[in-house]
Amino acid sequence: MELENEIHYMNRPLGQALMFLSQGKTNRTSRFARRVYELHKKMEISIEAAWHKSLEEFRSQWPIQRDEWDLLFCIGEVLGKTDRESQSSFLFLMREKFAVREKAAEEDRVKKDKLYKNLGALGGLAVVLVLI
Amino acid sequence: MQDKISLKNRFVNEVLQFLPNRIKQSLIKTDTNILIELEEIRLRSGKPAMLHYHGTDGFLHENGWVLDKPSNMFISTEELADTVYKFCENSWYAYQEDISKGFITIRGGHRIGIVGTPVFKNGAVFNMRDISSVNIRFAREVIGCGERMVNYLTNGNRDIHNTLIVSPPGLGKTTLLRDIIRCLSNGFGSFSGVKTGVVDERGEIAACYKGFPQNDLGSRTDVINGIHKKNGMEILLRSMSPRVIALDEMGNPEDVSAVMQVINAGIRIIGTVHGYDLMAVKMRRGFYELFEDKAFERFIIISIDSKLQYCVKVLDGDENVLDVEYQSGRKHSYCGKFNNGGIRILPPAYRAGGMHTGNTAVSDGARK
Repeated sequence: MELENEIHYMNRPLGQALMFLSQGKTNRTSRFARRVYELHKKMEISIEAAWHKSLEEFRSQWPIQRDEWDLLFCIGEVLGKTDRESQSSFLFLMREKFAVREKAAEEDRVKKDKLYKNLGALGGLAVVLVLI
Repeated sequence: MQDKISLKNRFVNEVLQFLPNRIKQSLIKTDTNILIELEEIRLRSGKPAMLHYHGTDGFLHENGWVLDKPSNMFISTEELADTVYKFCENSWYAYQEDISKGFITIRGGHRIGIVGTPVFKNGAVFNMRDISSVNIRFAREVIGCGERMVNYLTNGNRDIHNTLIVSPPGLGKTTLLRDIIRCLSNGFGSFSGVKTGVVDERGEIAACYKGFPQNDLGSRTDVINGIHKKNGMEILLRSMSPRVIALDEMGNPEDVSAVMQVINAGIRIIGTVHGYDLMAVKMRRGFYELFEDKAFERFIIISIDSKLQYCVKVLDGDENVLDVEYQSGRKHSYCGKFNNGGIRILPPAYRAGGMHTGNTAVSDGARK
């Protein structure tokens, strides 16, 4: 959302946008943005390459599914390569996709939550029956 | 010596890093005296890289030499596209409006001209695909170049005359304008500095990077960057109440009519326009009215003679000559001959007394 703002409303080039996003913040996204910016500047590689390299580095720290990783990789491939409107609509589309996945994950969690609760209750009942 | 190093560092930091690797490696080997006097680097698809300096063209060789005959360092279309993408800081969207006009201005105020196949949207150029040529034109700040002329522009110690600088492309209009702005803003002699607003449509006057002007425009100067002149002047008038507004490369009739409004509002204008003489400028659409109303009280005409000597002339509103200054400008480069008959172009350092005082690594033409 903030990156979309930097691109669409502030019209900042990606390097500057990522630097702004990382300034004065310590959350995961800011740390990622800072790493992309650092790699891009210090190693003189493209934003796309820096984005992919950073994702590899952060892979172990983010507990997300494979298809979500694919989406994040896809963002790196498109960032900066189209006009402002297209960048905005692409980032909006990506947010929508992540929202769908988040919803599915939440439903899955609720389903599993219920299942484990039922399993727990049945297990408890079984223990009581055995003890009797 | 320090100047030479800082100029080379500026070249490396602001331009070299974006160029294709082969060109970069070659330019690193090129004589510093050539690098610091570069005016243009031209990259054309399928053609060798060309350097332009001191009014002379030369082709870049992979060993860093500058030759009069085309070298074998051909540039591919992909390399050109990649170079422009790098100049755009990996962000096409941030430069899309500039690209549609055919050029972008990068950090340092250097202008990157781009041509290829335009892509149209709603009847206007929207993008440029299949980039075929890139022209990297170097911006230079020459502090003090306007100090003599600025004396003729003042009207008392707190006011100036509306002034138009006329010059053909590439003779230093923007450089002169920049130094005049600096003088007027800081003040000089008995002239107190005045609040000066600069509409820097192409980012060449102030060369703002992240909001910080990299060229010295004085301490009473406010810069609005990357905006059409008409809109920029309106915003400056409303928000900064300048005494003087400076703008580069007037030409659009819309800009000219906005200039008239600014003058009528009592604000002084210093502008530049492409042209070889006043007569040619007068005939242009929009300018005719400005001249009819005697909007300008001073003209500075820059020209160059056959000996490549600059002539800077100051005229009053009735076109009477007030002062003429001759400056030794670009000189023909000295050409050294290889033993094999080829010619290489040498920097001015080599010209002194006909002595080859610089890096003479290839003086025998053996290309070792």
